[in-house]
Amino acid sequence: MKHPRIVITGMGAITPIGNDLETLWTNLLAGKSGFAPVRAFDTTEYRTQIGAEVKDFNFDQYVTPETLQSVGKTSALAISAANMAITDARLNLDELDNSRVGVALGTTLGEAETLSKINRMRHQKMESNEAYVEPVELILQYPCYTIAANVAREFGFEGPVQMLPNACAAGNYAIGYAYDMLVEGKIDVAVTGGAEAFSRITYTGFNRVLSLAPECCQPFSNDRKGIIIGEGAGILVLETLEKALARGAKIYAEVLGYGLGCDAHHPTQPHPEGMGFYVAITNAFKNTGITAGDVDYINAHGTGTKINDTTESMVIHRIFEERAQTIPVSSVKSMIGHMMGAASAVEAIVCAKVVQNDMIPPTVNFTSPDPECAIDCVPNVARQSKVEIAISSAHAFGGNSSVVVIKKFSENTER
Amino acid sequence: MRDERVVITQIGTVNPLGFGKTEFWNRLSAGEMATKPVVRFDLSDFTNKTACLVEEDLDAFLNERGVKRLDRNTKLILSTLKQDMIMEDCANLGVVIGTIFGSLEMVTNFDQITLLEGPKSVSPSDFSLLVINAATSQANISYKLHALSTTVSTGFTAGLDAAGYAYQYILRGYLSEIVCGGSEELAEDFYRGMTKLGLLSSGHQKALPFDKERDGCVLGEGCGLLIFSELNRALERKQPVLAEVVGFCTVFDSKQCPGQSSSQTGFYRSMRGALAEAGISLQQVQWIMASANGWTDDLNELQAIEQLASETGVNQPIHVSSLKGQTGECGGATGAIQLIAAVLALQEGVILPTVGLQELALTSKHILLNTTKVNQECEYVLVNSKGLYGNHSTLVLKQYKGC
Repeated sequence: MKHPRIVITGMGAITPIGNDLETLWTNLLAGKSGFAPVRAFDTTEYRTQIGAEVKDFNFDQYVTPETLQSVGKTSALAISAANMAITDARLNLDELDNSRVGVALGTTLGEAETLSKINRMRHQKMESNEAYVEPVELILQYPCYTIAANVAREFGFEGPVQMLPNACAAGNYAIGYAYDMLVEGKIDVAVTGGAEAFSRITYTGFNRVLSLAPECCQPFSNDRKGIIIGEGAGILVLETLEKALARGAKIYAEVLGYGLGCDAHHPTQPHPEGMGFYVAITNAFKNTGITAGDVDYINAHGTGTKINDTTESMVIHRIFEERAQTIPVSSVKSMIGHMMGAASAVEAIVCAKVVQNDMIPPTVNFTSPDPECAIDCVPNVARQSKVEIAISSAHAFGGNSSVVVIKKFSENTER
Repeated sequence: MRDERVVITQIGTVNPLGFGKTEFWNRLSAGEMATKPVVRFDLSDFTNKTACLVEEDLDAFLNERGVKRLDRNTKLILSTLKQDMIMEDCANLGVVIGTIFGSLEMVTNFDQITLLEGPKSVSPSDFSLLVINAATSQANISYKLHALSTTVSTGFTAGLDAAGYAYQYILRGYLSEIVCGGSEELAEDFYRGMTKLGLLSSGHQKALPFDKERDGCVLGEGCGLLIFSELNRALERKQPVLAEVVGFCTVFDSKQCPGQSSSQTGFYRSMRGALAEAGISLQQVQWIMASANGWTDDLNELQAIEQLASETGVNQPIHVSSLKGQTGECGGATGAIQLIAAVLALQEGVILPTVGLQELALTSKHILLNTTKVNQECEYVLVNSKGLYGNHSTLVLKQYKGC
């Protein structure tokens, strides 16, 4: 069934290697990593001390002081990146029919730091025997829906506003939902993506499951030791092609569609045959009409754990067969770390830049090949390469798997 | 005009009024209120002391290795599937579940242990239960469902929004069968938070939707699940069709302050949008299952219905009722529980009442706030859901009478 084409008209990103889209892109191509000792809290008692935090981000440029006081940090990141994306898209908020603007965002643990804050306040009061009064403002800031609601409220959007906390694949789920709303004609503009603030709960958890690398993230490398936790936000503005052309919007890329699947195996361990990824990529092909032969670049989930990277490589071989060793596959988590709910949103943004510029960011910190990851991971150096179609894969705790398909924009393409 | 139609082929629920849909229907239609004093946690410093709880021993019912370590929300979902759903031939069954918190208790405990005993004292296996999508994923794991696993977290509208997601997903042609709904545990911090926000009934200690004397809502917990199927697939597999889903709309009121009363506009836009999606007029709707839960904005919902009815020029009053006085406001589960009640009522040819309603907050020639069960066939039913942040959702059900 023929349906509207959906395009990306604006993007905003706040990441460990760039507080805006252009800085991020420049640093990705330069192979710059954002790993440093964690500053958000004391990590003395933890096995590792390294994280990929956003550095010196000036919220004042994007959020009023009153708003900053009344929202959690994940919301602040989401609002700021949304602000960037909306400006980038040159959307005239006064001319928009706000009831036809939708918001769909993803996150892993949402405003987990707010919950930690509440717990610490409670504990402090108990220690000093003071009567504890629940901070009402903080209570309302905690449920993860506030992130999407805060973005909608900030800009006056009144269409569907949805939050899809599908852990480390959340961004792709949100983008997929936004895509569907546009195709179905429910909205004219979607503000979509993901956000995640660095949190003690996330850091503690990953530390305890022994998934954190002590120094840096080395996806697909033989001596990879795990993930580096990151934070930030990635927001995209999506519109139908018709509306984008009508208002003369600049177009980064086209979103062809997406596919989802589930390992249905274990809360944290991937399915031994990567079933979730296999189903997601098969569905992505079915839903968009492309085939394995059409894909020019894979932006991998590539977290840097032994098992993720091996499983991902296995599925790439199964799907791409003889092309598996030559199709470029890179993981930007080698540079920005694992931005949790923001990861796949930023990775979709990266794919848009890739198809627009025919430049592929590398997988850095690559020291030696792993025979179980027999793929071309674009080691260490960015590469110029014609990319018509890029796919971004993301997988999560609980086995949630997702693949989003991004295409170089060409007005005359027939589908 | 598209070919796909979405119907409901199974329903299941574990909630304060019933462990399973049969018990739920019996107690719901008998007019029972599940509100009781809370003993599960210490409420001595609160003025409100009641809630609607699932009393059954979920560990004993599930009786599986490893079940004890799961969070309560996950157990509610697994219990519902085990109790009510026939999970056969489900290789291509998707899962979409709405929840506000996932497991607030697990996240809170994890952080508290970190705080009090240090980061090395938390259990590694607990971490996997913290992510908000963990409960949904456990349903996928238990039944080996590879096709789809999505968690929707939109506050109190999450259950209905998950149904809306599933509806859209099937219409898009991605899958032809999805188990969807919502689930929420009643965690102590959820209760505390709602008390502090001034949302719970402290005088009557019960929720009286639409009543002039209402003074707040009562919290509940539970899980409601429905299997949505593309119609042709259901017919091919000779499955019973319980009802049809013909429209869904969700909107956001950006002017609403969080935690404050929902505006008339929000309710109005949600219902109007859903009717437009369904391609019908309010004139064709016999019953609106409202989102009213005993809080102040119950009145705004009635006024929105009144506004819509006046504009449409309906010539028959529309029945409007809410079951939240009986089940409580069950977080992400409520919208799904409401849907299930509407499906059951459609099957029985009845319109459910608002139990406990004595003095109407509003009288209108367009609205009939029935306080007893009414024997009436409905062609269309609207199910409303409202959130604390300005979000409103409405789903339109149609009685299915064959193709």
